Amino acid sequence: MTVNEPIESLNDLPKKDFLLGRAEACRGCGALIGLKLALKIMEKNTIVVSSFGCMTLLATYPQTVLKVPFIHVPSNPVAAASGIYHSLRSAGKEDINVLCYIGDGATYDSGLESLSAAAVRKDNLMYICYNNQSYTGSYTSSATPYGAKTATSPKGYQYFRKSLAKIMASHNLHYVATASVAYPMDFVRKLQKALSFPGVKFIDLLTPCPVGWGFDPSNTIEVARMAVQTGAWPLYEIENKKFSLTVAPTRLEPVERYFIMQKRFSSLNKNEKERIQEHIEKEWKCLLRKKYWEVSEY
Amino acid sequence: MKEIEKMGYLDEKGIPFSRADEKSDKKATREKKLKINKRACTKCMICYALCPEGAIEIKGGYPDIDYKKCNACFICLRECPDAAIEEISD
Amino acid sequence: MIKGDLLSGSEAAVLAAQLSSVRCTPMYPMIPQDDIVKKLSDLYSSQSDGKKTIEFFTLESPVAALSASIASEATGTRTFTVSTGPGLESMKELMYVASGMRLPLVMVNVSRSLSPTNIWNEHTDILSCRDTGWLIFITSNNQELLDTIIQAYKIAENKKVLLPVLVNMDAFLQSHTRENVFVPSERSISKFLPELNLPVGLNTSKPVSLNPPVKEEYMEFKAQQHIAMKNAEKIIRNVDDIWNKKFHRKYGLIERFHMEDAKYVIVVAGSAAEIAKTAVQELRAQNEKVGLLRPRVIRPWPKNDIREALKNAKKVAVVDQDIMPGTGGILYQEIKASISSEIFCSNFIAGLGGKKILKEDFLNIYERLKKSEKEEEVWL
Repeated sequence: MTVNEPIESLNDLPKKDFLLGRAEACRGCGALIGLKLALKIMEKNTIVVSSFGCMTLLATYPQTVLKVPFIHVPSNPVAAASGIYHSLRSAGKEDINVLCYIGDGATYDSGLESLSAAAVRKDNLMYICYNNQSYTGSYTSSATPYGAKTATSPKGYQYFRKSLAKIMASHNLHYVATASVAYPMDFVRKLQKALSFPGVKFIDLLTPCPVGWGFDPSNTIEVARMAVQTGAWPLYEIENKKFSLTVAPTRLEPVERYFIMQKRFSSLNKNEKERIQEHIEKEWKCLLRKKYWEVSEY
Repeated sequence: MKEIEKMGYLDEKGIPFSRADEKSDKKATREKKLKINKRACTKCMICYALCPEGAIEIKGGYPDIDYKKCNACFICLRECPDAAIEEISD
Repeated sequence: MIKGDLLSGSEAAVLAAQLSSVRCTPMYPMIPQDDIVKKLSDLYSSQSDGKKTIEFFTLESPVAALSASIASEATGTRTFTVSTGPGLESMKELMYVASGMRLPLVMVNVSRSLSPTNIWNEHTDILSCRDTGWLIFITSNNQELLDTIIQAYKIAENKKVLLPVLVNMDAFLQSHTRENVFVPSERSISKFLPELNLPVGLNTSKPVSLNPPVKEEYMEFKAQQHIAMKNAEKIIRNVDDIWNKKFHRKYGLIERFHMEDAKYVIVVAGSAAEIAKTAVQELRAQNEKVGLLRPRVIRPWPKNDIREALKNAKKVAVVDQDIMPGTGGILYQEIKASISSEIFCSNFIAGLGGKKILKEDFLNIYERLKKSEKEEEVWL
């Protein structure tokens, strides 16, 4: 059963671990932190579904690090999750949760049709998108921010990304949120709130990637924190069509402080940085007035 | 093809591969070692919550590093607000 | 004569699924298999809320339907789904996954032509799946379709096989045509087909990780799959014998018609074989030594049966309702590789895109076969 008692501080986190360490992920990987916290809350009665991406390497034959059932489906993973939900329902086992822990490549790009259709069908799924703003090995995806250097955009990505949390909000879901691994209490509270609703619940989790973004593995949490403090990744939730910012710094840091921490923004010139700073400030003003649809995210 | 003929089927004894029966003693590869200083620790549990490998366990109320799982990414050292984690020479 | 029920192929498929106690049916409707989807949907909505026996739901694309079926079967629930021409081709990526994961899934395919856009019958789509590791049956009438779907669950769920099965019917010629079908009783089928009990699945009391990346042992897994497909031939024969004892209908891996002393043989698969049988009967009445061979099982390919059946033939005509552009018919290549190279074997391409095949066409094929000196490829 999921943990329903309110968690006031990190000391109240459930002690049992369902993710045994030493997965074959990179050192300092942010996505593992998200999965570890999610499984602490969702506990034993969970089935995890994943698709092509970094989390494919959680299990490499003959070892696995998960203590819960896990299935890896190459394409349309949310359709597989729907299949699991319906087949468990037909067998009368409705208390088993289905967790989709899928990367931004298979969410923003190839799995979007499945996610959208499952949202309309109101299947009971918990969807967490671990967003490292690229594909594995650092290629551009639809979640890559403007100006980021990747293998397929060596001079900096020339387009502004889309924000899937806002797109999923228009599907009239009960709960949609963004989160960051630097704020674990915020993420855990959002998870608990989401699990109390029926239908598809969506959380977009920012998980910095030391290899792709170009920083030392020990700075993962720093980078994730700076993304929130500069307004590059605002943390909000949309619950039953009501928008609220959950972590709102009283004054935004200049976005330059976020750029200098990562090598992927090293090709930005002064004009582009100013343009991004203006964009973020405009968006922040709209978010403070709760009009989240007016300006797109950086 | 001789090896294939010797193989059992799924119902007889499971998947009979040599590697699955081996005990895995893969040690975490690391060059440096970390240690938690219990006198400075205030039990805020930030290191426990943020470790990517889940290498920090709670023992006697205090966090404790499991060296088989730790791969020295140093996130706990950076994030500890009381500077209670330090690097020691092996 | 005892009368059965008048059922179309779609109705027979739905009845077979019901008799096999199928519990979950993810579907995507596409002409010509949308009749099956419609009938299952009617069945689902006519059942009262607390007593639903089938969990029916639709998905957003054919690939999603197969993805949902794979995951549903992995939880240990008997699953049924349908596919057709272009949908089957787009599902190809996941078909390899279903076979590699060793899931006993059964899919009914209504064969439809691929390109140019056309909704009528052709066999290119089903025959292009012969590399995927699925067992493939091509049926020729609705009675065989109903029997084969129920047998398919028993064959697939046998512990020595554990591979998915494709059962094919022709678009419109079988799916929308009513024929006489004897439907077995529920009690006799429940004795024939017990509850599904998968050795490994998504079970919270025994957690496993399914379909992980494999590096060193990859070839061993493939060898296991290879052996399982080879075992399937014997299991198909066993199940056929059991079915014959219970219901007095025997099918086998190939069907022989007037083959005892045949010098000229026509090889054809699918519902066109029923038309060919009338032509063969007419020719036999005129004392021509002609016979018919219908391959029913395409994978595992019954090489020895075909070799045995054709060993005394002088000339063979393989009628293909499919085409490999530049090379010829698919069945022709497979048959030619299974028999001695001294037997004269001609290829006839007919019925592409739903073009009608009549009895007169088979009479013409026979005449042409008798007269020709060299092996040739003829388009009807």
